[in-house]
Amino acid sequence: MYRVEVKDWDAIVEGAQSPITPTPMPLRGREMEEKALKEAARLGASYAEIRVEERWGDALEVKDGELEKAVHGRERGGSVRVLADGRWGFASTNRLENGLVGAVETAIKLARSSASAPGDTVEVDERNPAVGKIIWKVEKSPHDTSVEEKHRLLVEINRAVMEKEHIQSVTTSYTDGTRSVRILSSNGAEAYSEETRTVVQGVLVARDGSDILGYRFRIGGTRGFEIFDKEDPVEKGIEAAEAVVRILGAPPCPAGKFPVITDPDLAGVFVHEALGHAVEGDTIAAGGSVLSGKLGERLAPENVSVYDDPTHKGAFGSYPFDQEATPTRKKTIIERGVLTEYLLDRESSLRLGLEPNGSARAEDYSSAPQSRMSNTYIGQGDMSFEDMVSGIKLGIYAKGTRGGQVDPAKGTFQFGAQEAFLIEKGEVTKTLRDMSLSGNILDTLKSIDAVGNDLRLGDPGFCGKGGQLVPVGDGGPHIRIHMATVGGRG
Amino acid sequence: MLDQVLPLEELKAMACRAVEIATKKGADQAEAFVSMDASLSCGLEKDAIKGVGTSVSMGMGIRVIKDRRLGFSYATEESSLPETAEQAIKLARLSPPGDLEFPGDHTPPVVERIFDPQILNTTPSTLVEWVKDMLAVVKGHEELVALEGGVGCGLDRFAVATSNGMDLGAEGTDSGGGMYTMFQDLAPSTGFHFAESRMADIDLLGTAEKASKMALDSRNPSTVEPGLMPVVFMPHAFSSMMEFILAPAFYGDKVKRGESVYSGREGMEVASPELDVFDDALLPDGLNSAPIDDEGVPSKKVPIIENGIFFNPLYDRSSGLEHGAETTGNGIRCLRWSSSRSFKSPPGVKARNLVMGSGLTMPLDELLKEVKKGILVHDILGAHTANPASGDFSVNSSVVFKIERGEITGPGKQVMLSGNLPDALRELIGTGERPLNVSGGLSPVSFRLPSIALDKIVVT
Repeated sequence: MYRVEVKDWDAIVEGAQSPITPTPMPLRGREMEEKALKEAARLGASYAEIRVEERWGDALEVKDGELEKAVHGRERGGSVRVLADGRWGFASTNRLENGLVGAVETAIKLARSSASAPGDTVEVDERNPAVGKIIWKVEKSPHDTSVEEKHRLLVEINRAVMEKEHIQSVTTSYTDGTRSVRILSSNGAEAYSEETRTVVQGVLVARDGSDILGYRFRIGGTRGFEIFDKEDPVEKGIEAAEAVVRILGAPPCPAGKFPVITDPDLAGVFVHEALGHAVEGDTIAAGGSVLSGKLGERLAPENVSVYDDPTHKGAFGSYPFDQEATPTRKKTIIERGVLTEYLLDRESSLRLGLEPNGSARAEDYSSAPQSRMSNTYIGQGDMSFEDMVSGIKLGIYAKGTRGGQVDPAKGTFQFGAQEAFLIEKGEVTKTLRDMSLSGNILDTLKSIDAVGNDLRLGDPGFCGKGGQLVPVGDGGPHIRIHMATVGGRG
Repeated sequence: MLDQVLPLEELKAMACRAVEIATKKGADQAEAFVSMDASLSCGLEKDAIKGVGTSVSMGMGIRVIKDRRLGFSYATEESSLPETAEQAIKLARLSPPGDLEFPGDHTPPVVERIFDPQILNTTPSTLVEWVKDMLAVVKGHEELVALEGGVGCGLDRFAVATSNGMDLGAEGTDSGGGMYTMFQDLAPSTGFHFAESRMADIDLLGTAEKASKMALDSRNPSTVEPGLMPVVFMPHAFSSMMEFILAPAFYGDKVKRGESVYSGREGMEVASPELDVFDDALLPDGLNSAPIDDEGVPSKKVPIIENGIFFNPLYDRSSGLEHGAETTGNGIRCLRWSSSRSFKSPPGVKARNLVMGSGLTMPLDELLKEVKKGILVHDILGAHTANPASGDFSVNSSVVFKIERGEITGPGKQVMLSGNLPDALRELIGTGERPLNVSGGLSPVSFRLPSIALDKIVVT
């Protein structure tokens, strides 16, 4: 059994008070969860997991200097997941006036309705349930920051960006939120956690005659308002404005096969799409990934190591417990080129004969956990950016992410860059636009031929899978892929 | 299960109570949106039914006008309505003053085929039986695995009330099924198909069969010779291109602020003269059809591109007011990157059901004859990475078929497709018959799309 730091309950809840929420979140015991758990046992569930979640926070959007929307909200909901007769039953609701006993009855009924269905029965690995409380305190709680200050921050970014030539419009948004979750399960878990995220993002549109282009930037983490002391959003906005104007009027990126260098942001998205999704336990256990059955095999050169770390302090994709109340830890997916670990939940780990490693995440109480990434990054290498470039006669340097997508069963992926440059005779020369890269997971990992000495956890992102969106952080150093398929219009 | 959703009259009464509370708290005008929905689904993974799940969600959003300024707040519990109203009033002080007023009552239009009482009677065991039947279809092909799939159904109701007397509501049902297949021997060819409807009329067995056939047909692909060529986009491939590239370019505030490729192009030819694009919120069986939008405005059919001419951008009430135009009934509440309606957001502009058609509609085999030489694609990876401001895209497709001499001649290996989507619409070759319902991936925008053939796409 695992135990984490337990803090004084009352003191913590009072600390969640905020000026915009005059009443603190109600102090709530765990009677509802306990009652539900007992009912599940009484009705014959072989496993039960009760989650109750509360969220509260602000969201603001400023467009071209004017407030478009300001939202304050809070919500509470819960879910019950049970195994009965070897099948899952799941019921979620945000009508908690009468507790969760009704949801337990429903979940059990649902599980039993599929008992006669074909296929092996479902079981979970019940080892290592988390017991304890983790509250991630932030230095400057966004709930103690006035909504005027949040508004002012966005207006300031807007103003600085609008001053730049060719900027047609700028939309900035700010979101903060605290999520508290309590999970009780039949295997003895009793985990309570609170995590706070703060994020600012901007979308710029630049225009020169009929030439029009968009660009985005984002700062965020499991931090409070102090995140803006570390990274200045106004500066980030100005950098984005300068970048978009640089790209405006640039020729399109050529299409074809080229050596490609990606910056840390894009290296992160690359490893997220090309590797991370394909090592998610549920996909692996279903045989739906080209990396199923490949543990211990060499996937990449010696200088490539890849990690997924939900414990990284302050990173956007970090979380205190997973949503099956398994303690979290840093996972080494690839160690010196060899596939060493999958991202596992309690069901997939058992099916694969491995141990759960705290990778079960759910967007919120209304959805059942899936195996997911947290902060995924390529480890530090030893090559300087200059040395990486000097080896290329004709290639592409791609920077900044537009996101990506993968089909793990086929092993194909795609991702887009915000900005690209031509590399000619060992030097970065002109700016290009509209670059994206696609390839086959296994081939592309093998063709990473240089890893930089400049590791950075890239900008925060959201990752979608099966209709659920979770916050993630990706990163890495600069990396070089010696041959990749580049899509462009040139 | 779906019977947990409260009757519409109760949601309307709650919305009226919320309006009353907000007015009492000091709002000059108030609007309340109360929604409740429930869903039931059964999923399978690797030939096995995993279980059944259900979800019920209710919430309320209050929008107020105080000193001509707008404020918004939401909650999930009726007991917190007074505090929610106070928050909305407090937040209003940050907004710039405006002229928006909340409208009064009216009689909304009637929309056909968006509510099927039969769906309300769906039991968990029925869903399980349907999934078993779909699985049996896939297993009829020994070499295939049903990798993922399932069926689901849902009911949603919402009410909108204002302090100026609006007291409206709407309800709808939906059902859907999908299947994703691959080979037992892990050959890297897959097949998929989805069917979505508002009625209990989806062809689940056909869906399983189409997904199976696609995998079987795409086995042993050969390399596609790169070049500039015509591409036939099947509905599920084109919907994501429309969702992320075209739909945002149709929104009035973007058009008027110079952020859209269609800015300054109203009344001008922007696409092939044979092409029509409508946003039809009254479309019978449309996935996003309803008598009213999420701010109570009557739904409409809006011509966006007609005979290739950019006709009409889409507006909600706020953006319409700002740019001197009438709302087109496109006020939708949703969170960023989310495909469902949400009480957690005030209304913003979003397309409802984008419908595409052309004067060059023909059966698929004739369309292939027109294409002569090119490719047909069933899926698109990465449309959300396109640049929505410029319309430039560079995406991947991995379910590809080669077209030679006007016929499908075999599967092709994955390709990248690049181009500029608005420009590509000028190169229309034609559209297929029998358009399909397709829902958006990361937004609540829905589609009714045929296959569409566009010339001069860069294929790598």
